[in-house]
Amino acid sequence: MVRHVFLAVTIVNMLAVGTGPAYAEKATVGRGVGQFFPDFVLPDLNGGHGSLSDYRGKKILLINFASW
Amino acid sequence: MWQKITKPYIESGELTVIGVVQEQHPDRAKLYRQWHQFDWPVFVDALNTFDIAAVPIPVAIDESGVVRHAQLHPRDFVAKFMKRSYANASRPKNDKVATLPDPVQLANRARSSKTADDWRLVGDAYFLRQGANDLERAVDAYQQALKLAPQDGRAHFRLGVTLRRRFESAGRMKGDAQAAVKHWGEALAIDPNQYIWRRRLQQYGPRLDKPYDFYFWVDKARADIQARGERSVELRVEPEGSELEMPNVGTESLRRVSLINRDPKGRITRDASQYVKIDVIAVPHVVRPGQRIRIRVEFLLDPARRPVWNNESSDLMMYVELNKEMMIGSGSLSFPNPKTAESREKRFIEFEIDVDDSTAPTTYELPAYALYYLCEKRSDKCRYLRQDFRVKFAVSPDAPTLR
Repeated sequence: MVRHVFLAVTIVNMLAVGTGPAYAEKATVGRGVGQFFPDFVLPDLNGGHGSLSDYRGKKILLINFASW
Repeated sequence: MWQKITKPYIESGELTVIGVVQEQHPDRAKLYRQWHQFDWPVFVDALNTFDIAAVPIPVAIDESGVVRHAQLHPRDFVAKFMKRSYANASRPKNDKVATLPDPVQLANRARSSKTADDWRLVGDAYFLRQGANDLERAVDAYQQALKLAPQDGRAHFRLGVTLRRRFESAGRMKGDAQAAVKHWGEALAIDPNQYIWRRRLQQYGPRLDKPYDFYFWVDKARADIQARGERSVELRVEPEGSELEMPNVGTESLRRVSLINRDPKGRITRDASQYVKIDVIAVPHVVRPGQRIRIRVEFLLDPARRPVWNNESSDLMMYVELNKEMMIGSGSLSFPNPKTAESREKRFIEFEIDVDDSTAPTTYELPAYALYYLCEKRSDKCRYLRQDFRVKFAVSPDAPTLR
């Protein structure tokens, strides 16, 4: 029993640290926690378009908001 | 709030902030951004393709693109996101870089699949392209979607957004604004919890149904920007009427507007060739007994013959014949003349109709007319004209409430 708990904790730790490939195999595209946020293309404010992938590489805070 | 707490991390190069604004008018978002000095990119999701039901929604995404918080609270931003380190993760195989969708290709797919979802995507693709005639094509595609799935709330909402956009464009067609309201109303009836959809109707709706005046900030923004010595972003469509009017709070007594029928016998010459195009918009298009409807009547001078308003006489006025269960509560039935002798502006009259509890549920087409002075430049002829129209709306106990 104690060993099982230990094993479980180890797995949780591994997931938290995130060994890349193991994570990616399970990862899906979506907007939920743990998923890969899907790329999108939308109009920008200058009459053109832009996408999320133009800004990848850093931490991103994506805020949906409104002026009203 | 986010502006302040994210700034040091943007400057240190650790963070990118991206805004997605849920707004009908992109230029208003641009003014808002300039006012608040957001130095991060903002995208416009007028169609709500994100399918969110509320704002704001701050999503925290790590360096690899993995969502770490789906609704991050500002107090957790530093400790639970910026201070955390996340291991590299490789992206799943089905994760693709998004490109501007090709509507022609999507339409081919929709024609063979015959699904509402595929037609909706065609509409989204045309709307997104923002090219000439794309609004027409988007309207057609959403209508195809609704033929296949009349209960597709998203298609209703997005068709409404597209029609409203067309109404405010050179390609405006009579009835566009009313049709937009109708589709937003149908979307809301399908999902009354969709806050973004509800807001779009409230924007143009009666004061009773508004939590606050949505675009109250525009004047303040312009003043602040000017005080900084900058030139503020110009708005293509100025907020007006219901968009600016203060909500009717609590027990504020109503200002009843008296109805004057200035031409009961119909003796004033009719504007038979329609020098003035009249468009009537009722928001919401279906109302419950005991509720209120906001009516907006727009008057546009015929762009081909280009007559002018003659402002040296009385104001443009209208009359509407109400049923006995209805009353005009607040608003005005005239448009005051500008100071210049002649002008060519779009005119509008906005007022609200109180529909009594005892009003029978049915469709109403109230007879109405407008009286105006105008001059035809070619012949230099000035005339006092009357044009008849109808104010249409429905009363039903099943109408969705806006509040």
